[in-house]
Amino acid sequence: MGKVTMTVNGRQMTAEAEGRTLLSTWLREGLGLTGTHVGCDTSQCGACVVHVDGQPVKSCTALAMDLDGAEVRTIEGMANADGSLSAIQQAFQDHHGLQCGFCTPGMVMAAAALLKENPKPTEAEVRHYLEGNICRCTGYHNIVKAVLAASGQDVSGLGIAAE
Amino acid sequence: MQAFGKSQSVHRIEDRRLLTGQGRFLDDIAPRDALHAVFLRAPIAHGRITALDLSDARAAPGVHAVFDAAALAQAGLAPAMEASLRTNRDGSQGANPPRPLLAGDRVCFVGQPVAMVVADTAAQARDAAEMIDLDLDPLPAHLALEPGGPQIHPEAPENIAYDWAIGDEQAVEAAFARAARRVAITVEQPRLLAASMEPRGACAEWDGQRLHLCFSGQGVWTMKERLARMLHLAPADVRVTIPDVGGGFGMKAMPHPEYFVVAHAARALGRAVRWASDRSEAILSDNSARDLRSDAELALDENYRILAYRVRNWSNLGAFNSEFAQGIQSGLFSMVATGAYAIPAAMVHSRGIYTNTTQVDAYRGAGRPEAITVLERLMDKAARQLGQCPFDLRRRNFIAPDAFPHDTLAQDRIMDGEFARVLERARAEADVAGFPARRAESEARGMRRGLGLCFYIESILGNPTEGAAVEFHADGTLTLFVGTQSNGQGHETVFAQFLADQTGVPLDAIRVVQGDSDRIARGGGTGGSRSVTVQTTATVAMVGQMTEAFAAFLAPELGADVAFEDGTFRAAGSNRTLTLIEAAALARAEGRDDLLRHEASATLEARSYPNGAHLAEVEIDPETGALRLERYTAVDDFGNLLHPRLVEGQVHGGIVQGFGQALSERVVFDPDGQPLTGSFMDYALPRASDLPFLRFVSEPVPTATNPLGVKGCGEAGTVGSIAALVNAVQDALGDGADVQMPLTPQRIWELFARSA
Ligand code: FES
Ligand code: FES
Repeated sequence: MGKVTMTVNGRQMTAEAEGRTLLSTWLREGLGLTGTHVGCDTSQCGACVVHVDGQPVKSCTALAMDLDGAEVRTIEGMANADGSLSAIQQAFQDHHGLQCGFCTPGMVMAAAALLKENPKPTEAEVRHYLEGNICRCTGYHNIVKAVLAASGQDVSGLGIAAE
Repeated sequence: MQAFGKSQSVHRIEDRRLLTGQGRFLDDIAPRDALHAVFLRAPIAHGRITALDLSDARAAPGVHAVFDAAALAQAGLAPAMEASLRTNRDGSQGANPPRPLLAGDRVCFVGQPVAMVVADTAAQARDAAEMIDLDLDPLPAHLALEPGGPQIHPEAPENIAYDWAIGDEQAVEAAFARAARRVAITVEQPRLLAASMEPRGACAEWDGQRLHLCFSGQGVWTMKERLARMLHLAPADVRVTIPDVGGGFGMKAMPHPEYFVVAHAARALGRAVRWASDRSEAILSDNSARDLRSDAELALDENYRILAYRVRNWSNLGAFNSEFAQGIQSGLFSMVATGAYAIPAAMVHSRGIYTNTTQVDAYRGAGRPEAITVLERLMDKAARQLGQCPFDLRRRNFIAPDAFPHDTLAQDRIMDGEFARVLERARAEADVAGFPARRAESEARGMRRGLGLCFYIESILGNPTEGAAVEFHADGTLTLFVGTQSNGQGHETVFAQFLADQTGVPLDAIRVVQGDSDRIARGGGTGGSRSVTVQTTATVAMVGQMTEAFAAFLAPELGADVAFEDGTFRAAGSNRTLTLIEAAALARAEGRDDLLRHEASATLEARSYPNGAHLAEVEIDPETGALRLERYTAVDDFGNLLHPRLVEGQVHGGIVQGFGQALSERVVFDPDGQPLTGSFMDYALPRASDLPFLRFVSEPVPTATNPLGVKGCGEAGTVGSIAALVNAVQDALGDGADVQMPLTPQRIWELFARSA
């Protein structure tokens, strides 16, 4: 047992950790930041993605002890300073990229990392990048659409065809 | 009824909290001082418990209690869970072997709960669970989906759970005897996992007199009743709530044993107790899905008109009856067994089999995707075998628009439908005319291309009665109480928007409350695609009652002919108008508290039957078996769309769950009953890269069975997609053996290698 300190969403935060404490557990139980979700125990689902020192990381695969001093951003730190949704969050809302919302924090964090790396990805690039994030509700259509829209691309042809 | 804002798409109210990490899922809101529960589960599929020693675990650090079957019996809990039973063909009841909360003398599947440890931390509880000494004498396991083999329960000879049939067997036999043509198929549907991304969990509190169970579920009332009976509590002393739910898909609708043990522990210890399943545990213990084999046969006359249809199902129930398991591949299957077709004679004969595996129950569509998949695989085969166009064969046999109401095999009535119109729309939208050219282009590259069609109907299930209530608050807002339960479908938005449209009350003045048995007297939860249809119907009834009551109240003020129009009360003789909120404020000022709460319930007169045509176009690399879904077109008749974007989302999600069943998902056991698909590394859920954009087209035929003309959409995507995808692979293969799900690249490669 020891104390671990990280800069989380711009603020210094300290909480206890055991050697086996995962970053996801440390965030959720230690800091009460429950926006980071845990959907599996084999690092397959991506519900737990956060940014560590600017890189997307599955927080269920990292040990809190190893990250003392790291800079972490979670879904709770994604909105703009004035509280409004960031462009990527807004695109998820505008394009109905979430249903139950359980995979959403991981999806948003992964998508944000993608757009930083690749500001105008193709559909195939988005799909490939999100391979490590499972969604059981949306069929991915509106998630991919939201990411493309957040990158400023035209997605108007991807909606419902009414009568 | 007021004009309602159909086809408006407002932003979902729930999105903001879900997008900013403020969602309130079960494990996010468990009290910080709650104790943690961890289950010890059976490590083998079948065995006699010869020793269960809890003493080391009880003495382990941080442990408050360890419960086993003996401890529950001592505390007087009911000995077994409840389940609904079928009536057998001979009039007797389906088998009812006791399903214990914790295994007593025997374990019957890998993952069956045996003991529960409660400790200060989850890690302590896990460590202690490992210290439990469990000795087992292995027994032979029954895994085959057939009668006979090692007997699991004395109550179920030959491992047969039920033997049920519907339809006129003699008429069917006679039709087959005189038929010019017969076509038969065997369809195997794999065992699936619901795999909600949020695993199951529960948290219970005891205040000395009342129990509060918060769980990740689909409705609070069944759970409340069951808890009261199991724990011998007065129903008034049980409160059940449901917070945000990360997907349910039918699986979370059913009581599972862990909830009761957690509740008992909270009462026994006088402390809050929380349990969150991890994924490995979810895979072992959540109700599984599908898992059936069907032998189906069509009899046709010389003009390709269907004379008769019969199907025999073997349904795997796992080791015990789950809540509704006996009803899925029997009663629910038969609801749509004959699909969109006018079939003079039909029968469904279903038998349930116990095996030493996890129990199986409802999942996205529950019996209806299974039935349509069997029928549409068979229609596809009939067209191929008889040299008919698959579109024409279906058209010829559709129930004609002037033949409604149509009495179904399950003795229900379909009131409307224009199936040929929907099919033609799909043919155009999917550019079926251009398919030969696209196929030639694929073949020029050494690839194969296939086009698969499924025409489905769906039947809305669940309780046809629902209630709605509103309460006006002093600050000018109101609360709408609903008996349905969102699992991610966006009900908060749909129902708030609907009430806003009906009453003129601004959307941001409406708060929707769901999932609390203390605040809502009765409700049906979510399931069977019922929610929007029943809840809006109840809301219409409630608004009607409420506006009448207010009109009577306002008459002395405005005049006798007060009417409520466009969100205001007005009367011919007066210029004064009042909004609903203003009327409520006036009632409050005059002490008319009776007008500050309104409640009504409504019952649907008939079920609605959504229907549609799904077309899948796949390209296959015969060298590797790799498949790409090139195009997917869903043309659906859901009646009027209340909230098109949410409907579209339901369709996408449903299609992709069907895609999983058709092409990748399958639970596999080894010959001893050990699951081999114990994680998402081995159980292949669809990923973003497996899919293209999907095309959803609305071709509505509004129904008269409810005031809004809506038909329901929650499960249709899954019902339509499975056979469309499998038929597309069959088409790419050309003639050959009937293909079986899931069509993994390996299976496809073998099929092509064999046919080459
Ligand atoms: S919880 Fe981290 S990948 Fe699933
Ligand atoms: S929105 Fe439910 S899992 Fe993605």
